[in-house]
Amino acid sequence: MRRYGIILLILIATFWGCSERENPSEPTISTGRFILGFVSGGLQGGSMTEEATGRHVYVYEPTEYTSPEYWFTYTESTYYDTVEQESVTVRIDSTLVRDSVSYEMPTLYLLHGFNGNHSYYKDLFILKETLDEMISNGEIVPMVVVTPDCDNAFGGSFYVNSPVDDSLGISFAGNFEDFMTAELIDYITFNFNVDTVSAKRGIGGHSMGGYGALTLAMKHPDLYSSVSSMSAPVTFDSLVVLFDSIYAENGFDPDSLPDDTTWFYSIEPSPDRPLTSLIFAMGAAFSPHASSNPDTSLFHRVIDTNFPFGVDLPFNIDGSLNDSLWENLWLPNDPLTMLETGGYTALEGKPVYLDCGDSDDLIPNMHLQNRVFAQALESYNLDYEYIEYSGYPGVDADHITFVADRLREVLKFHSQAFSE
Amino acid sequence: MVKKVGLVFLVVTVVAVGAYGGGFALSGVGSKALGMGGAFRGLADNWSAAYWNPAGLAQLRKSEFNVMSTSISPRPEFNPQVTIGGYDVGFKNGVVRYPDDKTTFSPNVSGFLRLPSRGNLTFGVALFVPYYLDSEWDLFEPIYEDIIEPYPIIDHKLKLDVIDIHPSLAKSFMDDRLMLGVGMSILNGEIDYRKPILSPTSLPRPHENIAIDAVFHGEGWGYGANAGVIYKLSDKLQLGISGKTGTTIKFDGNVKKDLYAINNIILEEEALEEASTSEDSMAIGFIFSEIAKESWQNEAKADLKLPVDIGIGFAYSLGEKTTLTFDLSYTFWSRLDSVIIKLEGNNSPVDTSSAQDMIIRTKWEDIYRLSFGGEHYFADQFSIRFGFYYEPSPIPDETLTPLIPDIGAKYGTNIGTSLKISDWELGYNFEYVNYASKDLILDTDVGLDFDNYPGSYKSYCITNNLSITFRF
Repeated sequence: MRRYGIILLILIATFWGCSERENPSEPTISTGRFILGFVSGGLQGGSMTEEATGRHVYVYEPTEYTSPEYWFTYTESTYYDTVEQESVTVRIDSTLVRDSVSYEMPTLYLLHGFNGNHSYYKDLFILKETLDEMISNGEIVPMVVVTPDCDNAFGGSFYVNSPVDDSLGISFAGNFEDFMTAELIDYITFNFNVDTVSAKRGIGGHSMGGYGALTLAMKHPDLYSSVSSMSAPVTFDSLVVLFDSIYAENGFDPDSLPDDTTWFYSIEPSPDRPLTSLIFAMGAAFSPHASSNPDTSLFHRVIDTNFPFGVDLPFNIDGSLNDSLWENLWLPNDPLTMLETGGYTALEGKPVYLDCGDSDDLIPNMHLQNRVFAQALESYNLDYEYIEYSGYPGVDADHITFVADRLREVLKFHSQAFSE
Repeated sequence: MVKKVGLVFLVVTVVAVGAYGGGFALSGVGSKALGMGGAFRGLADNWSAAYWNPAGLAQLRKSEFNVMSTSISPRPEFNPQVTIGGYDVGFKNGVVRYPDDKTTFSPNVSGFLRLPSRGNLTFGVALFVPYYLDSEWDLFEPIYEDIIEPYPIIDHKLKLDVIDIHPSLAKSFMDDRLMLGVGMSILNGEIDYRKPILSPTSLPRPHENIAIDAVFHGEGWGYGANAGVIYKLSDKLQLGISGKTGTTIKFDGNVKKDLYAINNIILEEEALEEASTSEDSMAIGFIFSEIAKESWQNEAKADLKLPVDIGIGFAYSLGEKTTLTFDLSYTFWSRLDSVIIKLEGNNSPVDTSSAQDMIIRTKWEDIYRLSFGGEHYFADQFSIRFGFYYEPSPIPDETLTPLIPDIGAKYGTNIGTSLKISDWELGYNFEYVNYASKDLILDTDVGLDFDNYPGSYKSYCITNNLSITFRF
């Protein structure tokens, strides 16, 4: 009997194994949503390039978002109806208003880069998934994120009011600064349950969007509480080195430009000439050729041969920098110049975030230019954070590859600012 | 007789069905040998001598037939910290992960005939499993979420099953003081290897690499030999020396790759705008394929180089009932520098890198093993065994991944027993192996090959052996 007991024990022991463990379940992610809005009254005043006045905007609403309530307000007037011989009260001047309540969320305006539009972050840089995850994980506070469309006929507005033509009296390529700082904010604050004062309104962007964020924050100190810029052109000095690349893009050797003027006027933007396209967009933003200006030495036709207007570009017919145009029309739009000529006061008391990849390929040594800008922020004792990041073996930290990662840092930055 | 033996074989096999086996190199063969911690080269007095020291087969006093099953329950855990340059590329970092826990099974069968009429010649065949591993993990998910079909849950796998058909021959000399034995290893192997491949694109993150689920399946044969000698230094002490040749199993099979396409029209349009050649456009067509995944298959070959092993052992008798053993062995794992899975032809629609050979870099190191053991008979029929061994891991940090549970130095503790009933012997052994835990932090960039997986490793393993021997 004992013998069989031992055998039984051995068999039981053989069967004895370890319990099976389960991997932790994936964390639950609350999913917010994107609302596609339309700012129908945008870009008021029109433009010579006939930019669309209605502008799309994506607005991210987190799960925690609650819609505002609306009702009509009115005044009442009472009169005596002599026919019916009774007193009648009518309501007049009804106005749709919204509550001012409940839970007003901080808002981040994220500005797209060159050749982008309102879907830039949503489609290219997984903004929704990133927001869902980071809000669910508690990495950032719930926030409304607004990504407007500020594209124009040139691939990008640079978020400025393109100068008004002195003869025609309208903007050359649209009043995008007004759109951003008035029409869009009005639209958002009315239609969404967001903070209506600047205390919790951040602005940021990538590349041209970063440029827009910095310059709008400096021009409108009361509108934004925190500012971020990812890989933006922040010192225009760095643009001058692009001229040779632009000539090369158009098939000319920068070291031996032709003596005649044909090369100069043959320079034109196209999808396979990104730097040329960029400089034309900046020309439309900063230095469109006034229709009354008879000096066409810097003039370049745009859009097509039937379009009678054009832009002045800041290089001469021999390829050298045109100092006058540069200093009078371009440098005033240079973020570093703006900062040094009073813009720093607009940034006082506001956290500023700046980053750039160490292999940014938009402009040579772009990270060094961002470093210069960061040093300027430092010299004014501003509250800033500058990150110069690297890629990994085989994948350089160029102009665009790591934007999705930097976006996470930008969201954390603004979240921190909203929490203070 | 044949009926009885058949019944025993059936029972042990059925007992083992539903269990599994584990571990690349198993800790040994035979309940008795394992019960003594694998310190068996100097003693080698049963069928498992075919594995430890074939000279010991000459000590068999009767012919014997044996069946054994081993159930192995490895329980590793891994907290991954796998990034490239600090960037998340899809590994489920920061939480402890477990493999698909299994209790695995490996069978052993042997039969040896002793021929006194031929000068105490013993010969026969053993069939055992020296190498076995079945490791499956869920460690990866593409960081781009815009895919149509979910990526497989089991994304890492290494299953290796090597069966050694081992004919052996042994003979004693000098009035049984000297024994010599040789054996031949006819190895049949089967391998499944699965790992994600990240194939670079020209797209921005998180689409800078496209995920390809790559699976290699192969089967093959390899041939080797072992030999040994046992010499009785005195009535109480005997010495054993044995070794085996290295063996290369040549696997033939195929590699199947599934590319998990991106479902993002806007990104596709951007990519097509920037495509400069027709090849680029074609690759983009696959990356953004309208079907959930693009699949292709290549025939493939791979060589698995198994190590040379040598060792010396002593057995000392403390009277008639107690035996102590000690072994020192050395395994030349450095033969296993890498496993190159060579692809035949190039069917890849994506780029050349994903069509290249798959390389499992191992760079394993030679290791030694120290084993101690003992056996005491309480009566002629019943014995208790104990054993302990220490063995470092051959796997260097630079190629450590959770696919092979041998994460660090092993401390194996064994306790076993045997019960003799007439011509039958029932043997049992329990083994607990504790692995030194490891926090692997690499300050060098690993690149997209992922030869090793930084993170925190822990592991232990429990093994049960049950054997039945019939002597005649």
